[in-house]
Amino acid sequence: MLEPVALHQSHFNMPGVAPDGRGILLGKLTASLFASLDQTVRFLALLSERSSLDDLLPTLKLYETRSALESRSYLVLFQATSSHFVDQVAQLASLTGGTVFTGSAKHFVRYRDAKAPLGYDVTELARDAVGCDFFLYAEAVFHSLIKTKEIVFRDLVTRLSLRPLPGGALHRARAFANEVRWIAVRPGLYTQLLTYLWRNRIAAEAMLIDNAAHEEGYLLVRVAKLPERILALLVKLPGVEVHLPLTDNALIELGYRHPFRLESCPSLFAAEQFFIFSAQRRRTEILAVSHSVGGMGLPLMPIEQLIATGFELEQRPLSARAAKLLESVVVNLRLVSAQQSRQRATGTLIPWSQVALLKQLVFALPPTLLSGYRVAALDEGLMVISHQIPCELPLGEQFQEAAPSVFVPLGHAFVPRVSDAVLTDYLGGTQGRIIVFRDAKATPFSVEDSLFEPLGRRLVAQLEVPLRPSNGRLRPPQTATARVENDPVGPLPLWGFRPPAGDQ
Amino acid sequence: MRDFFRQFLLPLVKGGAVHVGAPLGQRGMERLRDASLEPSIDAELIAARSRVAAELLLEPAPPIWDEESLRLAVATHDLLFLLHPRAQTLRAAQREQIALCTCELARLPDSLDADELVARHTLLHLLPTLARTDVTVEFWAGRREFVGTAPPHRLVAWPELRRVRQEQRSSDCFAEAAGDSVAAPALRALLDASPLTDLFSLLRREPLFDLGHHVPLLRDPRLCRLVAYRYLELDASRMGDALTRAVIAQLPNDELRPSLCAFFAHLHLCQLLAGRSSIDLSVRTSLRDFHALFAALFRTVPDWCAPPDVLHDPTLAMQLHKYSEACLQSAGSGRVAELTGLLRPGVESTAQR
Repeated sequence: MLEPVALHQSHFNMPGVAPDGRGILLGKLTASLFASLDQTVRFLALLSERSSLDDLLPTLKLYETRSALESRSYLVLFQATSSHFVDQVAQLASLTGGTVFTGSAKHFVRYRDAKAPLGYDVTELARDAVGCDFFLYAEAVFHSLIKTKEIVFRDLVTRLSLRPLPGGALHRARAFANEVRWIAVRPGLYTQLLTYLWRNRIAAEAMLIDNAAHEEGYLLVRVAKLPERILALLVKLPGVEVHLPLTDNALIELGYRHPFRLESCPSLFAAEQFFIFSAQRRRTEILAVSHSVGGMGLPLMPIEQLIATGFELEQRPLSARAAKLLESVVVNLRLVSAQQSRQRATGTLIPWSQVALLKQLVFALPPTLLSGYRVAALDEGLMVISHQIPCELPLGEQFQEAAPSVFVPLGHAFVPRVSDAVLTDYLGGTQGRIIVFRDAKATPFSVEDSLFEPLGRRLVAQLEVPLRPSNGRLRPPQTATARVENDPVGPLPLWGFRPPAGDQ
Repeated sequence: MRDFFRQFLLPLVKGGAVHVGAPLGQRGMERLRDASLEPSIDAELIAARSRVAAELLLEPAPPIWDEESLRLAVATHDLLFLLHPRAQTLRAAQREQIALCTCELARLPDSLDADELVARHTLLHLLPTLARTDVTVEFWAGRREFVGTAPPHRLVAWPELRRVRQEQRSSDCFAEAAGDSVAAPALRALLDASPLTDLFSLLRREPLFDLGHHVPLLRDPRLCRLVAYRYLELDASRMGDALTRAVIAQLPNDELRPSLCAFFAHLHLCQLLAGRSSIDLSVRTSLRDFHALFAALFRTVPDWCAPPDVLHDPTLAMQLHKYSEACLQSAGSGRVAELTGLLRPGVESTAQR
């Protein structure tokens, strides 16, 4: 179907192609064929990284096509400015699983590759050309494609989902602290957020976006400069999106990027519109801009006009004498026996002398306990804890939880009887650790949560499973392969060869 | 003659080095027919062919060495000669004459006898995987190509001094024959002579797999089971993809459509009853059309999807319904709708007839 182009070849069967200065066969257009939309997007993304899409946009066409076998494919057409550029396109297309063709309008032939450095010409043009929109000639196959849909590039850009950047929004927030300008706020948080910004003396302007096409509107706030701590807080706050300016009239959510490098195609964003690419809401908002108003054409209002400022009671500072007196009433927590307490044990500290008994007991434990108990090895012994189920091992010292992750001996409690939160604060927090009080006199100790493992996994020894070789009594299935070896046939290989009777 | 049997025929059936020499043609075939086959070679040949037949049929008839086998063997030899480097130096008319003679030799009567078709396949079962080692030798003074033959020792001697570099590559003879404009009709004739070889090599790239030729064979229950079981042994994703493409290509044909759709559905039923459906229904793009066509078929003509007794059995009918739903989910409703649109006009025309 295809034959390589020779150097200085002047006549071609393929219409609308000609050799360029380097002798490479090139048509007016480049066609890149992809099997899926995903591949097409990846190709355009790579292309936007390597070259300016603005130069391609005037001639760029995307088509969804259908073959004779009803399979769907995607065709990207644009002007082939030079063979250097098409070489680059071919390299990107092969990276994303596509194939590049060159041609003029309807017939496209495979672009050059290692086998044919000057390109390919077709031996014969397809005759059944009626009804098909494109004919692509490859080495082994011939694609006749029917155009089913044209995909407008701008629609594709606005419909693609944003991709999270490595490190997340918080990491990015620190890097771009001085660049963040825009915050989108969901209903219900308007007043709180504006009041918070105003109290922190942050100059900001806001407008309400109430688009009838969407279910709910939101508040768009432009902030002059945001301190890093507030920015970090806003990034983590549900219902609040922080946006970075992408171009003069386009915003993108912080911590995300568009699959395409949109900086390479600013002409896509019309001056009379304002684009907001949102990852959380999975949509792209396009707002109309009126140049008669200030603030980038958006009707933004200073936030001090939008919040209701009231009067608050003055807070008197604590005097030095009162602070000293307050220190004198501070008391320490004490652990005391509380016989009325009927809590069940949720932890056990088994001394090493009794571990042999635990090993025997393990065989009698039901599977739920084996997976529910977690164990850590300490100097004092094995610490077994279970948060959801009672720890009913009849061994060692038994403990109960006075507060989450705070273990005290069974039948003991703290006085004064403060709440769990106060107790946790008193102990300096229990995040990632447990705290154990063995008795009222001994010093408490803490154990890292990561040291605990499920009891079943910790106690069951690793079993070495030997690999058995095949016995050999049963013969393995033979996969026969044959290879052709060409013997010498002499100077007259057809000596004595008789053609078929009908051909004589 | 002895060399042909020992060095070409036996390796062609058992595996090994298949030696290809000058073309035999009609006269060579007649000389081989007149020569008696050595008893030891005959016994070895029958044993090798019986092993291949035993993988296909429960009680196969022993494949005997007859004129049909001889014609197929000579035709295969001459087809392989067309890929011989010496054949490239012949005139185009001479090569076409050899190809014509090969087609003539491979022209065997149509048959639906399982033993006979299996016997033909036992001779050609290695043809689709036939490979050849080509060597390129580069040395200080030049470069030589050796197609299917080892380079002479003098050429590779003193490799350091003469800066000899050898590059070996394996060529697929089947694909090469399919891509050669002269050899391709001869290969097609051989595949027509042994339809089971053609059907079993559906994963090939060339020549294009055409299921339409074999519909009479698939209408025979014994042969149809034989083919279906072989397909179920293949890698499900590749088999599903190739088979679906072949079935979709034949959908516009009113005569072939019901049989091919029933065969296609039979494979799905076998997978369902073998408990493989849950594995294959995971989202895999290569199986998308395989699932989509079944879902479209079940939606359009459920009668073609299963025998009547299966549809009347409430348990099986429920399983089939669930399987079809899973296929629909796996393939996506868009693709199923496309294929339903492709099926519906044909089904309506079949119903009108």
